[in-house]
Amino acid sequence: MLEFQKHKKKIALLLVGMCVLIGCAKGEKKASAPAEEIILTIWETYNEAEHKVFLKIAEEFMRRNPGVRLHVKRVPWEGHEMKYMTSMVTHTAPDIARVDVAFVPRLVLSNSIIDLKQFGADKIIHEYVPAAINSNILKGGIWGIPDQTTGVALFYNKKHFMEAGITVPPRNWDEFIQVAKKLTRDLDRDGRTDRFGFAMHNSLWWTFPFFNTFGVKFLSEDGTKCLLDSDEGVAAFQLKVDLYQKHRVEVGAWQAGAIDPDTGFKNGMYSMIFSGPWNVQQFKDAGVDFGVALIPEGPRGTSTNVGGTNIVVFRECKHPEMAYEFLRFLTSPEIQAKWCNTLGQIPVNLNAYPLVEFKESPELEVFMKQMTTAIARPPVIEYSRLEEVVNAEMYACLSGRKTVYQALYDASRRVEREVLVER
Amino acid sequence: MKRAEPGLEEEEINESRLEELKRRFRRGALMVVLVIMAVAMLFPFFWMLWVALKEEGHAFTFDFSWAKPLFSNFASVWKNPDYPFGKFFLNSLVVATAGGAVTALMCSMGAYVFAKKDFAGKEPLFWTLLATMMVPGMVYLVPQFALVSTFRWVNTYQGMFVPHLASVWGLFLLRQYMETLPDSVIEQAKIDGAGDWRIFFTFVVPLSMPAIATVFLITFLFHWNNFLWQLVVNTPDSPLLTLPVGLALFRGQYTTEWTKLMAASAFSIVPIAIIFGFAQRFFIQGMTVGALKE
Repeated sequence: MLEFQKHKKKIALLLVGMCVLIGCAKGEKKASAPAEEIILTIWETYNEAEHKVFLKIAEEFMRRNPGVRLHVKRVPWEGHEMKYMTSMVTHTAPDIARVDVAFVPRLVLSNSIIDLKQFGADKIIHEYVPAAINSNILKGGIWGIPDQTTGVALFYNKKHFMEAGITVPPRNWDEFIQVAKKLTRDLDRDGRTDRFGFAMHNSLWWTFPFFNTFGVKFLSEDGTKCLLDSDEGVAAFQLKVDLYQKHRVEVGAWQAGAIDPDTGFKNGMYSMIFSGPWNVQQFKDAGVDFGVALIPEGPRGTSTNVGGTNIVVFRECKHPEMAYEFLRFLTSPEIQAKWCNTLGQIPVNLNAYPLVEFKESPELEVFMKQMTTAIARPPVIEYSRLEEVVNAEMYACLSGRKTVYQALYDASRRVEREVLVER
Repeated sequence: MKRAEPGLEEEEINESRLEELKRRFRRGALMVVLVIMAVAMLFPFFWMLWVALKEEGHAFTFDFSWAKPLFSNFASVWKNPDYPFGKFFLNSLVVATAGGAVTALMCSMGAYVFAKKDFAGKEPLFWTLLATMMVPGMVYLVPQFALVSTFRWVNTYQGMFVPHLASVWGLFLLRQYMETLPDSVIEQAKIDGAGDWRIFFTFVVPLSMPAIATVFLITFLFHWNNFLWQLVVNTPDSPLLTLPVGLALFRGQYTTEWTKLMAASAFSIVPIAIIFGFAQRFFIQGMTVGALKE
């Protein structure tokens, strides 16, 4: 104890020093707002370019609605779900938040967000891209408004097409295989293929274009059975597997450590890939001469997957009507047109389609057409778990360890046991 | 006087030359292996700087020409008002230094008791503590956040590092190290009238400095890289956001600003490189000496 007394001064100094260090670097406190103001806190996960446009939209909303103040704050996309979940536990959630489409079911089941039907959202659903708004419809409610929607289409290298004497992109899967064979080439004649006609990802989300063009119904009506191992499912996945194993027009870009489709497309190693509007500018900057076409047609025509985000209103929001007003403003045709013309993205509001200009980005027209055929992901609570289960089985099949039917059968049963049980 | 046979002498010289050649060859081969390993270890850093000097669209093109290096990526990262990188940097430095220093102090105190003191239930208590290492850290996330929120420590420095001060790994490493310290020194100090605090600060801490420095370094690195906790414990408008959270802002749902991310990453490794440069002697000693127990 005596020794402690001797060192007391040193320890106290250390603690004071730490407090000073902490105190000095601490930021200024927020000024309190006037009582009559409606303040809405928005947590968004946009990238920098989108964030800047979003801030302008928020300013415009505040200008048109005096007395409303929007506090816009960026949250990194990575980890945003955990961030929201912990904030809900401690009642520090924002009023409005932008979330991944796959996260909405979990928010609904945890009673964290409000049903926008009470503000008339059920009367305006026809205004939105069906696949995008459908990701918000669950248990008879409408739990969010899509703010961004996206899906993939077929990117092709025009130079490679010209070299192979191909004039138009493939319209159906048979043509796709023929075109991919012509594009797959041994350029230096050393017996090894240097350029592949196609490169693909393994994951379920990237496989939906195959499944959707074959009309695969993922879940039974009551949501208790996974129907991925149906005849349609087997035929669709067999096509994907054949591209790699039988036709050898796919390089194996889905394997761990392989050059991914985007990088290979940029470097001229792959002639065709599936990708979305987010890569258009990057490919242009890299000097790739490319075109965008619809996903080849299967027995059920062309179709694609759906990605993107929704905006939701949290339960503890004190001004949910005003929050809903902002959501409507953000997705109004006027604002959507401005958003899409600036950022080269697909509008979520169908009424904004005629207002989008294609001069700067002709590819956008293809994406918009493709999105009208898109099919929403199955509404499961743990979408990431669904991906884990199905991806592992598909990987086993692509790498030759399982047949197509066996992989899809195993995937379906595992989905029923490990994913659908939570419904 | 016996004369040395010329043939024998020549043979000895040849043998010693052969030995010298062998030694040089072994040394050369070792150098080649080491150079290959060094290149493999340094290549990611080279690639990081290389991408940081490119234009955004060219981040993944296999283009090694140094036509026009873009230092603007570094400038834009440092000056961009949306990414107050200087502030992120300072915040990370405060959290990592405070976390590392206090953890090292607490672990060394605990380790001294476990290594040199006897009390009932010492071993079961130590093994119970070790067993907690089997519990994944994610399990603690929500309860810890609830506690931090109750203490009103959200958006504070203490909220970022205090919940991680108890390091069982640090305690284990230091106990192993301190057990190698001779008891005779401590006994001698006791005979001379020194109390536990004096023994601890005058003998145990200086003698255990390599292991303490190792615990500090590893903990510093943990806090420096900790993303999820620092994201959770700060609201998005917090002025105390740290580097990992700032770096994550360069990644969107589908796109990543690779050139800026790499430029920012280059800044973020500077303190770690400096600290390791200065403390590597301690670090290697701390990791190896503690492993030997007589």
